[in-house]
Amino acid sequence: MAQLQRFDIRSSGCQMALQNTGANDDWWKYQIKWSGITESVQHGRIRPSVGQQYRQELVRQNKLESILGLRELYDEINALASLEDDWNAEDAPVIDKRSLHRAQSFVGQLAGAEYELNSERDLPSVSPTVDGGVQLYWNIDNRQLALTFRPGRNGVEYLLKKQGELAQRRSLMVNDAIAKVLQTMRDA
Amino acid sequence: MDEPSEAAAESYVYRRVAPKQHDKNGKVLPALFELRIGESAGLSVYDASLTTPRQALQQIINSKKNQLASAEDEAGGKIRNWLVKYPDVESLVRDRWRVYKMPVSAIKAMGFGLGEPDASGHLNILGTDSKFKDKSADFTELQTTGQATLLNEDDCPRIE
Repeated sequence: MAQLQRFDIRSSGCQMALQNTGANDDWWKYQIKWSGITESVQHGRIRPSVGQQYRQELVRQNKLESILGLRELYDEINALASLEDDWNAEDAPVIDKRSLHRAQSFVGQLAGAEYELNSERDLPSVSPTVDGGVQLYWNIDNRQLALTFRPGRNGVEYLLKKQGELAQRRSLMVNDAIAKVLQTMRDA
Repeated sequence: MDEPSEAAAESYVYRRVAPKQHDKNGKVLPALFELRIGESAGLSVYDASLTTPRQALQQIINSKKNQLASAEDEAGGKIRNWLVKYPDVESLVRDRWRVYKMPVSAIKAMGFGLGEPDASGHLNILGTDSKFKDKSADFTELQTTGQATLLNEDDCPRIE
């Protein structure tokens, strides 16, 4: 059984803990905590190659946010919490807190799936929806991908539109939505 | 000799865009084209032949003033604070309010109908909640193809 190894990295208000599971070293557990933001602890599993890469890069650069590209995205999602009733002058409600957290959790899981959020192209735009939800949106090479977290629903609403073609829209579980995002990035 | 037929002039509508409904690169986002749950009237727009982008934004301020007249204490206080923050169209535009100009022909080509405008030029694009969600990316695609324009901060208050 592989020896347990744990690395704790602190950088600019963010803590990341990496730990291999110890069973057969197939997976590393990771936990990211942003200081100063409530309920922003994200955790999941990443492949050991990614875990090692993060550790090496963190030791070299000590810049957690630049590697994961998450901080700006988390802040953008968090900022939606300050929208007041009627923020669109058409009676839209305040943004549902659970939808905010689901969107943040999704972004954290996307980062854990070997998705390097470190380029302009990879970062989604964040917008509120008129029913109090949160939408993440990518427009890459004339492919539009929107993932929407709506109040009172557990899944993710997925919308893909390629230019000149009919849009596809359906509900997905989180893991399937992550796979769709990765596929869209690879196809671009 | 036959007279050449003239193509019908294109009609346009304006859709108001709140600060969080367009991105930092000046692109509208699909969530702008969704209906609120239970909204049966349709998607709110303004007839460009009857009003201007400035007037479409001015309607936001006018509406708040109307609400103030009948608002109770706490709600009235919030509206008064809002009107202090946004006394005119220029202040809305500074805070990233914009107007999206779309061709009516493209909207009809998506399968939507349009209602009749009122005296202020306001009308609704008619459709179900589900249809607007299905077509939300089609509305944004109009900007990519050059058929629609997000009027920038220089355009919005100046087009009278």
